[in-house]
Amino acid sequence: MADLTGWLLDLYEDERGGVVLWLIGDDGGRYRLRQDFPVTFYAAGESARLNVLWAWLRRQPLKPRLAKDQRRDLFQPDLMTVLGIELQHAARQPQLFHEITQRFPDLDYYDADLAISLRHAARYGTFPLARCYARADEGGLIQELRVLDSPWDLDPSKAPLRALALRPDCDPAHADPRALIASHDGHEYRFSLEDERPLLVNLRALLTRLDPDLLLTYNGDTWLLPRLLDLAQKHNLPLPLNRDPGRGVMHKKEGSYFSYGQIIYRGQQILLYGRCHIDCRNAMMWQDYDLEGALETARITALPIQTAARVSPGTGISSMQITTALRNDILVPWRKQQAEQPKTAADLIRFDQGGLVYQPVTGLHFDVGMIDFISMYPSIMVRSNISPETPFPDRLGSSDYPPGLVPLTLGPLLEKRVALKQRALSLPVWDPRRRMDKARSEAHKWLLVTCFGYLGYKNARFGRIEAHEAVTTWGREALLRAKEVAEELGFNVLHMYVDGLWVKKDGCRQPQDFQPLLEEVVARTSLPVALDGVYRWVAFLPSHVDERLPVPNRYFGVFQDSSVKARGIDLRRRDSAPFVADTQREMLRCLARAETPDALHGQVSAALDILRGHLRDLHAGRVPLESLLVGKKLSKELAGYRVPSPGARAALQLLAAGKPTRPGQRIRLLFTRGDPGVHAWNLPSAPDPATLDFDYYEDLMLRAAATLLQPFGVAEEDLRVYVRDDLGEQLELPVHAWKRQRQRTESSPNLFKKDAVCAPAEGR
Amino acid sequence: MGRTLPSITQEFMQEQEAFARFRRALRRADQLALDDLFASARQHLSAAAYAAHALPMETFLLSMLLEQHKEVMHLRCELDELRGEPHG
Amino acid sequence: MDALTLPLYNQLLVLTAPHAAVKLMLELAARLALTGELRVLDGGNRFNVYPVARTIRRYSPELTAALARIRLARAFTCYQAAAMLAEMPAEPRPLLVIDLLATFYDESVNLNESRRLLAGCIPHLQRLSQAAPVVVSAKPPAPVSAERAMLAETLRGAASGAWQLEALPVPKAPTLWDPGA
Repeated sequence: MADLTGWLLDLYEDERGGVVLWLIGDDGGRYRLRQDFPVTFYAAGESARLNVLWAWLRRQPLKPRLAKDQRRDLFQPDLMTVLGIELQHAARQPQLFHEITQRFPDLDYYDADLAISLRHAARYGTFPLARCYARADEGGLIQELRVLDSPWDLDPSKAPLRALALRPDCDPAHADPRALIASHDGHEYRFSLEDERPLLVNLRALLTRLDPDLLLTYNGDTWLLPRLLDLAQKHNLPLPLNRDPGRGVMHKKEGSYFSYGQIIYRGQQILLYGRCHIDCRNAMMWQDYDLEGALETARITALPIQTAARVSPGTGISSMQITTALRNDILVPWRKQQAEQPKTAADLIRFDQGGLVYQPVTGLHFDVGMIDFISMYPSIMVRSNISPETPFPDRLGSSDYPPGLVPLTLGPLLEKRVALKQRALSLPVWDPRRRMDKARSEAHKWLLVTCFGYLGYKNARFGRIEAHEAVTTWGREALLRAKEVAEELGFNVLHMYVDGLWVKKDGCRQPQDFQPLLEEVVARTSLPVALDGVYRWVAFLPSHVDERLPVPNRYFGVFQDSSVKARGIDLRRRDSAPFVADTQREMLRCLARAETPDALHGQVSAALDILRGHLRDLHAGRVPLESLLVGKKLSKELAGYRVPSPGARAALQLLAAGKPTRPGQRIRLLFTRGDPGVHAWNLPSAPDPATLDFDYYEDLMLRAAATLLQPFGVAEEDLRVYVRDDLGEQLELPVHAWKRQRQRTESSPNLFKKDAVCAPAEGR
Repeated sequence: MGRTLPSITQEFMQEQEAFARFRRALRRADQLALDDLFASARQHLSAAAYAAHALPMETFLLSMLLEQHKEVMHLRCELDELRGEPHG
Repeated sequence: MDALTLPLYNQLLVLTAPHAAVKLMLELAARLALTGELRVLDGGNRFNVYPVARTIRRYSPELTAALARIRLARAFTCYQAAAMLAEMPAEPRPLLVIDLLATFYDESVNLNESRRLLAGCIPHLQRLSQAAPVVVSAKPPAPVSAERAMLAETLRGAASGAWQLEALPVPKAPTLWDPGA
């Protein structure tokens, strides 16, 4: 008998029956334990058919335990009769289920295709990195298991994870790597890829000595690990990538799939047993929240660490719902069948809408407060109890009914998010918890942002279009109430976007000036609201095409604390050439340095100098090629293009070079003069810098600069003249244009007061 | 995500497009004035969406009138100022 | 083709057209709504209310009442489509099923599965057509899913009347030389 306390690292089906758990012991050891774990799934339908299924199952060698039962389907008011099928051998369940569906496709199935870690989470409360106590016999079979903490703890005890990082010395898509770089705890080793045997021997030794819990790689899924596994086989020197000696690594094939009219590409995956492999290049949200965030996602969703790092937030939310359903004895349907209840054509117009998106008052504004509903849609789902099975709310705020599946699932997540956000405000800048909190908050944010969309998703097991529509209906209501409050309190509402509004009032400059507004909005909507900040100045941008047309959610501005925020412009877009984005970013930072409205004029001139400098660098060939890479995504198969887009032309080049690309993959390319006009990155032949289409890049930069300078009265044509002007004359900025507009919007009384002073013609 | 109807902006563009023949037959200066009218209606697309009318064109026309009226009020104000008269 | 000349007896009528004859179906819905209640099952997320409203308004000022007579439900997966038809009670109200096969062409659903589900829908369509006219529109599959064309064949085979529209006639621009055009 052994008593063990530690952290749960990995959990998977045991091929001999039950499950395997890997624990990191308090004593520093890594323990492989087994546990009996029968799994049950259900079939429902016509009783005659169920009887035939029963008879067929009785004849199966696996000898599942069969029982008729009454269980709850979320979408049915009454309990329904189901046939329960229990297997001791969890690992064999998917195969059995597959065979059953081939023979009995007409029946409905529940709890049939669930990840084992979710079943375990529902029964024992386990989750990755949970602190556990286990008592096992000499054979390592668990007799008792208790979970000692919760995924909702703000400061869980940290497991002493050992990580080994592996990466090739260059990007394999671009050139052939020559060496493998391994690092851990500040040590770095370089193994030449040309000396294959020594590489394997050294890597083996490193893995055995270090015995890492995490294997962090770059291109591990698509290049590095497959290559190492090939080498190991070639030289007959097996690599102990898995901790579990009895198994090979798990190989998941690559694929493209269709989701909401977009093609998403998923690279192949190499998953380990007893050890967690995370490929930083293949991890879904790596750019947004790295390892800490991935671990937090695993904790909250109860998905294994390797899976949590790779899957979309939609899968994460689905997993959470599944666990909640299992815990509350609600059947998890295999296929979503629940359809929309009929509505009238007039209702369709009312409900088939998204969030309210208002046109902004374009131009430059000073001392503007930005008010945000905190996680608006999830908050509405939780507080108004919106769930597929609950009656739709007739008001914002509390509900008379017991919480439904969706609020039960989201409630703790929302609470943790709010708690961390509040803590972030009070933690001092040097506190190490800040970084961790931030990464974990990102993970929460993505899950929360997705859960609303998931509610309306056609394949979501617990989705329901009417619930989704109810959320947007109340979201629009909440935003409108906030607008009404703002106007009643004498604020001018400059812009509104789904869950936020920009407001301004004479004399309101400090955060505390906005406090009464916040309090009244909370009172009227029962939803949490926060002041995102007060802008020293913010510019709402019009359309590129027509300056009269305001564009929602396209702006840039500086907060009072000098931080800069921008939406909808080049520096925010993933596919912009880095050089263009950087130029825009530098210009924006320059503009941000103006402390007063009058100082802006000087900063505009300085920003123009930055632009001219960067253009000179461009034409002089001083800009590295990587900075000029533009990203393009292939939206369909190459054959589908009648006239090839730049992305398609680049893909053709890659195809000719033996590097086919799939729809949904991102291609990086340079724009060149003449035909074909593009040069794909990652081609074996390096592009000739002299062939770059400098005019095209200059055009991109001028457009990016013009976006920033348009609110200051600088037209794009003037900008072109200015930068061509070798004499270096100071541009005559039509300052009066935007100063006059500022006067108009500043004298902004309530339009409906009888003794109104000259009301501004908005948007002119 | 299950959106069945075109967005209010798309519907607006359709309505504008429906007047393309009318616009073509106008004099150039009148064309620009018409464009101005349609541009002004775009200021209130979100309200039109919220209104959820089965015939959104009616809301667009009302929006044009609304902007016109604001302009009239503004001009009235400016005129009073020029004349040195009290407002209102 | 004028919507009004379609014979509307209690029968199952299947229309195949390049875009599932959506415009025609919407026009039909509008005309039916002028005089009575009807049900719509939207299988392809195509029920744009706006042109329906415009058509109704051309014939009657009672737009609100007419729109209230159209009861519709949307199917986003073929499983939903099949379940909806199975659960729909037979009523003496016309049923329009727009773009039924759209969700059956979904490549993420196995072809055999789509076939099985469609085969299950047919008896229900026939059942419903005993009590009221049922008009089903469908489009051919995209070239990349050509093997699914047999689904449209199955549907046509079950109909009491099947119409295949190659393309809706393009109105000819009138010229000076067309007498009585």
